[in-house]
Amino acid sequence: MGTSKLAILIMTLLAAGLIAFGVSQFSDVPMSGKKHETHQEGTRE
Amino acid sequence: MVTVQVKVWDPFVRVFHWTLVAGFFTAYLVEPDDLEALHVWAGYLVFSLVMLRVAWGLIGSEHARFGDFVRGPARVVAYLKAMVAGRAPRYVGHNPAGGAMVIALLLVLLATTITGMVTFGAGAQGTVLGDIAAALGFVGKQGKHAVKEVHEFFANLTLFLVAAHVAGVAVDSWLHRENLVRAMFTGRKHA
Repeated sequence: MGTSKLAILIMTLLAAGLIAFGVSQFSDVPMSGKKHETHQEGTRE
Repeated sequence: MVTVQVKVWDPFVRVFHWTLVAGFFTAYLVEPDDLEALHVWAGYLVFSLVMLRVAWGLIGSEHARFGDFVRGPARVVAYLKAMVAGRAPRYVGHNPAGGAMVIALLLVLLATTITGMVTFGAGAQGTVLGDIAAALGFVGKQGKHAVKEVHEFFANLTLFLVAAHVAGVAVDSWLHRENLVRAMFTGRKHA
């Protein structure tokens, strides 16, 4: 069942890329969705 | 009587499986209007796990690889017929029906999470996901509503597949007198 070091390296890099993308896209998502929409509308006004 | 046990599911497959269960049900049960961040992050966790599982299916351990369990429709149907007749042969890794379910679940989860990210992007202009949603024509409240409908359809289809998967695991465990759920925790099955 052994896996190569290359496979583990590829998986680690892929995981790091996914984490980086997630943080770049979702880091400022507020906990409450409804509050977020209210805030956005308020900002636009 | 001493039974020989063999290692079948590697640690990645087992952690992937149970984290996916937790991530999917968290995203499914938590409404984005109530706890948006939790829904979004749980959904993105599911997307990330699917991506990692696809990679592991190509470069992972023996029974994790797609080549070990992906079979053609004829073999899947033959296995299901044998299962109904109570004569399904035992496989150490995924049986043909189980393999088909893995592929179906990965595809439907991918559709669910991608449409979820486009839904998010439709309401987040100026981001990468916002640009993708705009390029696909999903802009503003109408666009967000349209893609959200598709997202919810795939989420419900996933739930249906999960139910079928659990039923299949239960039947196969009973047919072959082995606890497949426990095997997904320990990684070991009878030889």
